[in-house]
Amino acid sequence: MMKKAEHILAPVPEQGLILLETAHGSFRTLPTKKYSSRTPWVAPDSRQLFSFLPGTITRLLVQQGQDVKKGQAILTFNAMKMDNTYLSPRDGRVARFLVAEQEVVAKGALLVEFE
Amino acid sequence: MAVDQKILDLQQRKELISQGGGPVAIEKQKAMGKLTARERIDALLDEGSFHEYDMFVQHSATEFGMQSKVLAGDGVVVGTGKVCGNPVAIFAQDFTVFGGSLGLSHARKITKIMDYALNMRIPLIGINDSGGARIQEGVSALAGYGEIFFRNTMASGVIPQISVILGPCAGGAVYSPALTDYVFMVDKTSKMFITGPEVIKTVLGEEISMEELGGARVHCEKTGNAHFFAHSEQECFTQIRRLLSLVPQNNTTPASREPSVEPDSKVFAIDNIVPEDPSQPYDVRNVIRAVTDDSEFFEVMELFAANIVIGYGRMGGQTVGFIANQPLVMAGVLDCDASDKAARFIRYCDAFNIPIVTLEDLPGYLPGVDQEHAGVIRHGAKLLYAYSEATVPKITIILRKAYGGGYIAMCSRHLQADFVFAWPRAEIAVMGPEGAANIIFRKEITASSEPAATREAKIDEYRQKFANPYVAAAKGYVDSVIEPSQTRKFIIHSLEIASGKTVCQPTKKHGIAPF
Repeated sequence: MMKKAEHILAPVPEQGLILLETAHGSFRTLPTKKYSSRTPWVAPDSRQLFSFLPGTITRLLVQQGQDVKKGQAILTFNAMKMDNTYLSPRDGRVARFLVAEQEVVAKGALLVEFE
Repeated sequence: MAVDQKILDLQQRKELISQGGGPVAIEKQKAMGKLTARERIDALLDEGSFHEYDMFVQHSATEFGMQSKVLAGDGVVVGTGKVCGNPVAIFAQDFTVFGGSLGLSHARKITKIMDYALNMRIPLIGINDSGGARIQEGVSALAGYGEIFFRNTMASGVIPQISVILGPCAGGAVYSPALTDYVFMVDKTSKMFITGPEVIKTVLGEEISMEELGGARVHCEKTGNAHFFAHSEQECFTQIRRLLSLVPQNNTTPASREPSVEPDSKVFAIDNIVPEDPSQPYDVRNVIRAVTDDSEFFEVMELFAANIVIGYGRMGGQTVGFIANQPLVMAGVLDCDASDKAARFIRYCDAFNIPIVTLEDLPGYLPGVDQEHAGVIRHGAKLLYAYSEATVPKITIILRKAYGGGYIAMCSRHLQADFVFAWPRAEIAVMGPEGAANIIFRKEITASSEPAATREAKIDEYRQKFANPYVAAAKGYVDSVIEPSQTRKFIIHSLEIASGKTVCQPTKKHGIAPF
């Protein structure tokens, strides 16, 4: 049989407590790892294009400084055994590529920035 | 003498199969710090109680050189035995035999013992230690997994199903444990993932170890896929035995009763555990241990979403499931993970007729873009659904804070709690006094020459008028306001009163739980 837990009152630690703000007031408590390491919200910027899947950049179809139209093919991308094409989300000029051909990228990686 | 020779022959055959993959493979298994399949079964079950079946089962694969391969028991040990005197069915994959890989015969041994367990209405324990599908058997291996998943689902809520991960459990294989009730893992031994480090490296270029990707700590702390964390296989087996001593054998028989033993009120002095100031933390497990028999509490999912505590204790000798907000961690708020954790536990208790005691002290839901976007509405709804659907006796004790949506969610009278009791310091209100004063008295506060002082005065005014148990008690939402020291007595009495509880719900095939 499992050894019974000793009868000891679990204490409140003196270190690591934060003041957690809620809609109902603020409370002294320990944060979870998940809460401490959460990423703050940043509003999306339509001048940035991110990868929607992990995969490999196969070809860059336009050049830095080039003017592109909304819907124009920007680059091709092989992900999950499928070939994909990224289209420009806007009319504008390509400010810079943050990736090169044959580069392996994670989901959510910044691929292209527009001016 | 012919008979003796037959017996000798049988003994030799059994002895050979008992050696699994042979001495070299066993040595490798030991070098990884792991026990063999048969040692595990012996360590887990009551001594000498194991009876093995299907030892002589062989695979019938013929491709890729398989026709000449003889695999002892096809890489899995199955049988029945006892835990604390109660019968159980068990299978243990044998990594020393062809990496414990799952072929059709291996899977059929498992599904056969699963059918036994379900038909006999006894708990099923599965020990997973396998490299995955036996590639040489192709789609037959996949068929084997599918047959197991189907049976896991059919047995769900009828018999307790326990998965023990004692080695790799990768790819499709993970879905059998995921469909069972309790997953046990051992630090540095257990690994669970859909796609392993190799695939991730190839596809993404990300390098991660098996332990970091899907080790015991990851699944117990981060993903919530596992329920119990142990440092050794022996500790893990002790946890399993403790769990099985607390839960019923099936959904029609009650859990075994133990003699009622009074809690240790010297150490767990219930009047002094909860600080008067609602913004100060304490460990709610002290309150649980202040009311349970012999101050014993067996916590489930201790490391995941620690802002809510779930687990088993006995009250008056009977097993009870506890759900308690934990003010020590994240002030006990409800969030996606906490709601999910508690909801599943409630459904387990309900399926196996274990009464539910809810200890409430929370300031509502966790605010934040991450929570909203992670679907706190959908996850939070699981908790409301599980509490509302449960027909077992439901007893709620409001210890301190019960604000807003949190008050409703934590098994309020409105979700059909059978008994709701509140301690005298309970603050049951639509909002916490701080938040409420800021909204209701905004004009007075901003117009004041001393806004801070006015704010404090208004908070106090609100607390006096609304943030107490008597407003809810006046409406009958709280059955009784009780002294903390009376809590155990009230819970045990409620359990006695509710022992014959019968509820008629509308006829339906099943509800649409917000999964």
